Amino acid sequence: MTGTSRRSLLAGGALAAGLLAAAGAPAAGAAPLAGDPGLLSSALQLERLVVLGYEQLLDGGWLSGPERALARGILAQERMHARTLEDYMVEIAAPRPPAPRSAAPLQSALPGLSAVSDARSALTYAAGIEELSVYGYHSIVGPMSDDKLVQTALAILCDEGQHLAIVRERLGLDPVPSALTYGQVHPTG
Amino acid sequence: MGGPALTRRRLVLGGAAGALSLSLSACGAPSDKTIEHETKLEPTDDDEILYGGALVAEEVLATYAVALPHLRGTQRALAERLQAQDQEHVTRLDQQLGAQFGHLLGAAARARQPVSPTPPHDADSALALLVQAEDLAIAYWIDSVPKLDRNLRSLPAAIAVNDAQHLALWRAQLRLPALSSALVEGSTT
Repeated sequence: MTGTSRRSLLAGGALAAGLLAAAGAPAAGAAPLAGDPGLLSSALQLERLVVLGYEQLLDGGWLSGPERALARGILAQERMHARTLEDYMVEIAAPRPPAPRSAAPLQSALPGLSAVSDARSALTYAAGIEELSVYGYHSIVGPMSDDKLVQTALAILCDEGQHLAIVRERLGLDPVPSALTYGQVHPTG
Repeated sequence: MGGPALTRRRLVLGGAAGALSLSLSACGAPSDKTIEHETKLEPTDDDEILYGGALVAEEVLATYAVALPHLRGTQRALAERLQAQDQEHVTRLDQQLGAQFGHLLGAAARARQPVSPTPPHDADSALALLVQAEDLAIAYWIDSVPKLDRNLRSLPAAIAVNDAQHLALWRAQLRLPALSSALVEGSTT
């Protein structure tokens, strides 16, 4: 294995650990999962946090009209991602991490939810969620082993990238500011 | 294996057809999947995959070239920006081929195999052609990324996400839903 691929795997592992920790999983005493099950688990936790984030944005009542319709459409797709990942985990008999009980882990990973006060700040937060999602999935596509799982993760990653572009467009920002879309952990707008 | 030994048809059609045959849609239908053991696609040389990706990106560029004369105003400006990003995809793939495999003949070989899509006749048919081209590029990467060495997946994944973003923007310009699926797999039709 090359040094770079070792770094990729370590980065993927660090991301998985970070997301699991942020989401309050694994349960006390449970060993962290390794390999594809571990990457699936962290992806599922990421999706659950994303779903929680959009639910909070919609429940807050800041979005209306086309912006609300957009957020609802994205939320439906994020839920589909989570179901797809859960199906995989069931199929390979991997233990599913406990669902986060609040959006607090998301606020930890992406501060600013409590400061949302209007449609623009809600969409800005949504763009941050999508940047985080793109970054997360991009980090796990490399270390994954199972080919169909890689395809699924990449198909979800492409969808998250589309969300990001459309949300940025609604914000009046350049929807695609770079030819290579990697996402970021701490979006700067 | 060097790039010049390859034929564009073999790579583009092989990769695209592969994408179709992979039944990625099964990702949403767990009963179709069996991953008791890791799923492995037919192995392909890494350099062949990257070279094929550059060919597909060149095909996308050729599509922009025939579409641009039919576009005006903001659509033309958008096309010019996204065309520049697709050009960067070719450049970055060539750089990676050179860095990883010492292939410096890729661009010259491609130049001997010019691509000339059927010209559109108006703005909407030009936009439809761009949607088709970006869809094809996504399908190629969805099929190919799992076959790549883990260390080489990062760039193609970032390119695939960018292509997916382009696709969403062009679909919106065509008054189609920008976010058409939770799993963005591309299409070869």
